[in-house]
Amino acid sequence: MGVKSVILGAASPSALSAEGALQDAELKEVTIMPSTLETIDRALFEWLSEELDIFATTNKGWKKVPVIWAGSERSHQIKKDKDIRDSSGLLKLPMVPSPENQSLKIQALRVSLGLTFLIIRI
Amino acid sequence: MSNEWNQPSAPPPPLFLGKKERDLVKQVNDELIERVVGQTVVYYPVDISATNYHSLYGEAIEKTFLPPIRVYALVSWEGIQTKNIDALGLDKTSSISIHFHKRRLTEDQDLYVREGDFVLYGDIYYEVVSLSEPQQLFGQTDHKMEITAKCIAAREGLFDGS
Repeated sequence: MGVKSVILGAASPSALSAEGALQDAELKEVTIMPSTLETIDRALFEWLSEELDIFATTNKGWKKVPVIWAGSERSHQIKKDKDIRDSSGLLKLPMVPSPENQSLKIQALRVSLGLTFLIIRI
Repeated sequence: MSNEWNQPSAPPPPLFLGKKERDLVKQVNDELIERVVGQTVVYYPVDISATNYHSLYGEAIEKTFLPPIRVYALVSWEGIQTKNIDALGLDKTSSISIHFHKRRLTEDQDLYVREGDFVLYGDIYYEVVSLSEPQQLFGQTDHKMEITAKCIAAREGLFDGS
């Protein structure tokens, strides 16, 4: 789901004259993908899970290390992903916790609480 | 009639700690909790299949729950306390501990206590945050006596069972 916006391409010098301004300018429709706190968090999560694609040698063999979002609700943690726990409810390690504390969503929440500042590093 | 002695295929159960004794303990505890103590909570199991969780964050604004169940249990009221949040000012917290009779729940009411479910005690909704099973019956590993649920008050934005 992108945002469509119309931008002006490179205009020739004649197009910049008073009369023919914008006449020769090329109009292009460019799709700009949204960039929100959620999409950035999702990108980071997918980068950890799919791009890095970490595997480990365990006593059950060569297995993919699951990446979990550590900050979800309790009912979701317990009932949704049953594969990440054994029959006693213990987590099956190794496991990569997503950097939930560093996520933009959480940091934005902290801003709203006045606890810290949202810092975006490029 | 043969006078030959046959060895049983399996060893006999413990002499005084078998099924009959466990059933007696269950019956006594049922009566104690329901007819003497008489405390009840309403249990709201969150329906994981019908609740629309966010695909990344695992959070749901609207939670769907299975039909609520009235449960007799021993409830330890731990009061309402004032808490100060730096940026927001005064807040209130409340917590309870619920001691469920495990066999009554699982065998008679077909109810399984899980973290993240909600209970109504009085007029406050609580969320189950941790569970423990601190006692075995007669030291038998397959027979746990109780389930203790530590619960904290749920904000209105988290759950509304009305």
